[in-house]
Amino acid sequence: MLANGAPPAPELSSELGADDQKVHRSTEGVVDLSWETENAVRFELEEAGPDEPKAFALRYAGPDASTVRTGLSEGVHHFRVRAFDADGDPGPWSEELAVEVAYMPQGKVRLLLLLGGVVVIATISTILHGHFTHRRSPQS
Amino acid sequence: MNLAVSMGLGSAWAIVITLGVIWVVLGLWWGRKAKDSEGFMLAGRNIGLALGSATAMATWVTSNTVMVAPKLAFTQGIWGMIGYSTAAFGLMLFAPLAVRIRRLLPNGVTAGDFFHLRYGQSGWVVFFIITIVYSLAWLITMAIAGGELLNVLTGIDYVRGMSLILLVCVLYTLFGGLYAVVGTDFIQSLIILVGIVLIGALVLTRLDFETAHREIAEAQPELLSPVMPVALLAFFNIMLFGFGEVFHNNVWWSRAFAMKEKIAPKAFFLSGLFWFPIPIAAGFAAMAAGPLGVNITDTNQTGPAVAEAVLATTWLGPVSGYLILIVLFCSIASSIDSLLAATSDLVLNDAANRIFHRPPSEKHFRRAAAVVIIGIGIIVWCVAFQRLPIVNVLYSSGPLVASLIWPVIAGLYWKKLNRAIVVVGIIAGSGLGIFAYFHPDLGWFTASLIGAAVSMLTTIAARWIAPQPLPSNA
Repeated sequence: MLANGAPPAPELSSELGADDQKVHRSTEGVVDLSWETENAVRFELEEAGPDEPKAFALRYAGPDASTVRTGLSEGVHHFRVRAFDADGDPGPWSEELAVEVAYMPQGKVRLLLLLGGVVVIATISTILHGHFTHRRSPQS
Repeated sequence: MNLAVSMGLGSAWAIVITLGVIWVVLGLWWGRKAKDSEGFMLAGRNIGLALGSATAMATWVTSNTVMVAPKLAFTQGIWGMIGYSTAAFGLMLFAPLAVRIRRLLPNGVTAGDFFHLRYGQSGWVVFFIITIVYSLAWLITMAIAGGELLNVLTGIDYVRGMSLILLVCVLYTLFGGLYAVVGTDFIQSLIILVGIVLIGALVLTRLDFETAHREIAEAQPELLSPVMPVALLAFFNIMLFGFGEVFHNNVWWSRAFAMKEKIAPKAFFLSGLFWFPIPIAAGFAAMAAGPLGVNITDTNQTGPAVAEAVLATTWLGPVSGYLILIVLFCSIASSIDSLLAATSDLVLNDAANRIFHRPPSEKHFRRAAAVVIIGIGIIVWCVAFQRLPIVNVLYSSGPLVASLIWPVIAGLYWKKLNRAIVVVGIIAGSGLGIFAYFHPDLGWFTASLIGAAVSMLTTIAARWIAPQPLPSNA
């Protein structure tokens, strides 16, 4: 039951672009969230992870109208937010915002990691080899 | 959490003006030693171990260290935190390179001297374009970061704050050259070290590790993951970006030329060693943002936001804002002064010699140096005034500097190379790296890696395909 004059449902948005199904996509497990409404002094943000899409857990409670969520696991995360007025009465929950986290495919990651390892090891080895070969060479 | 204006405007102005006056007076004092061009540009080639280590470490503690390292830890977790620290390996590996640099170019002045000697005019032009773009982008982002930080922390108007920090650095670099830069870096590095260690220690005392671990594992599980793809790739990317930056930039070459010959390798190795834990301390505090109840609304402000929240809970209370301000002011000033000095040296030495063919005489050197330093300061101020998103130019220049890693190593140690292939490799590595940076299937965290890999392959090919002996005398 909502109190009279409680803030309306906030409008929840993300800097990530949404597709046709209103799903926002993140390739780095990071999402910037912000919300707007009137007559609010405090907000609560909840998140439901991919394992239990209906089990919302509190992620932020306070006066700010934005937050950054990081370290999200792969899958679809749902967020919702509600506002509280000065008397502490909550308004309704916002529409849920869905964020799909999809990291780079493992095959491509392994290939790039292998490349990184080879470049770094070759770089360090070449410097050390050059140093020990030339360390007693005279000045030019 | 939005960083609130946490101190009075009058107190803030008093602190920044006091710091500014101290640096300028010290610049004037130390600048008395700069009797000639070599004294002004290279501090008489006589810098010892303590000053050498401190100046290298302080220069590497840029605003990126206190701003980006916490951001990486907050967005990429453990690997992001350790990954940023690997930039220290660039300093450590520059130690053996410094030995060879001093042998190959005993009278060298800038990194441009090396590129011109080993790769001719075309190689030097490619190097000069890359390093000027990178150095100016770095300088401008520092000036913007300085103005924004002063504004967020103190309420000082952005333009006034940015102008003040830039003016202070221009003045003491102008008066004292490398003597002033190295001297102020020494004091600034001590302040930075004490500040970051203090904040890290306070976070340690205020954190219940078991609860913090449980909260992060539940709400931000990938931050603790040993196989987070973005973070793993960023690990190599940051390391190679760091190698490229240190190996090519005149900030580091001028220090290699300025230190006593036997001191330079030790100083670079020690500075890397001292610098290594700083991003870990800054990053650790940032990872604890959630468990500490700090709401991050802008990842670029993760470090100051966490520091302010933690310090506010201590007996330091309102003084905490002053401490953060002093540490950040020092870290930004220590980078701006070094970049100003090194970039102006490049213009004075390289551009005057190789583009205009009119190097300034010893008599007119100080006047020419003043014109160049003030000119660079004005260019930086004009762009920073517009608040253009130059930070994107700086980040996307990672592959450009990474493409110079192998040409520097090969040019220092190898006797024969096909110079044309090396130069083409730098251009190809830069181009493909920038392509990767903006490609949605690859991303920023692969750009420097791809730039370095392409340049490495072409440099190795240049050793075997029609190699020519490299010139060893200018």
